[in-house]
Amino acid sequence: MSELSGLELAKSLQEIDDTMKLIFVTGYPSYAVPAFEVNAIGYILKPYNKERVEKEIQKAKRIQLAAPKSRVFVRTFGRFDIFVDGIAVHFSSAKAKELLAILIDRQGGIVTMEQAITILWENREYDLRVKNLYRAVSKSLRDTLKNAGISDILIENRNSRSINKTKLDCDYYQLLDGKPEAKKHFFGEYMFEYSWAEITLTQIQERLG
Amino acid sequence: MKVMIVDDEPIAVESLALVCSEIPDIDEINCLLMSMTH
Repeated sequence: MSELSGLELAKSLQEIDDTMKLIFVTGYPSYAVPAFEVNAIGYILKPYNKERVEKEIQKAKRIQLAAPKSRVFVRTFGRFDIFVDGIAVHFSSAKAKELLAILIDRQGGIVTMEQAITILWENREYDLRVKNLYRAVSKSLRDTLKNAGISDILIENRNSRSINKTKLDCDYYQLLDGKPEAKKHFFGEYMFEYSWAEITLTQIQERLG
Repeated sequence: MKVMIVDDEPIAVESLALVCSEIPDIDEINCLLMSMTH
């Protein structure tokens, strides 16, 4: 791996996740201007103390809270639905919607074709016909998300799928992050139309005590 | 809040991590030591 400067690293990190808040710590005041050119939110000059670092952390927190919320909201408490700018996305295929629900349930983890088929068609043999069915469902999901203008929430590889958690808000993820408002919205149901979701429901209930 | 500290000097990473550990808003600290140009 070739060596990077702090500024080059900052640029690379911003390309990976532009919501990341960057704070530079340096002994050289001359780096201040280049740091802000890569959208750093703060700059700490050495020697620093706890108060100085805390001030920058508080600033990062304020900026994060003031940032516009994601256009995409996924509701898992109760019936599963996905909303873009407050409007529910319509799925022409129930299985495509269920595939998205599985990916949401996995919290960005990778779901292989075989794993998805086992859940979507639990009593069917894993053969060519069911694989073709899965490919059709995957295409339907891809088309639905594209029509809704949210293709970027889906990450596709040849035989696996996952969702990009950074591109959406989800009540379940908010609960896992310990956000108090998410607890208020949970009323004992999680994707109740899908039997496989009962495992996660039990985990949520155990978490909430 | 999650914090990631990146530097090429172990002492710099360690001392900043120590300061961050005392800040209540920070609940996760990740450290990365990497070779960097100056």
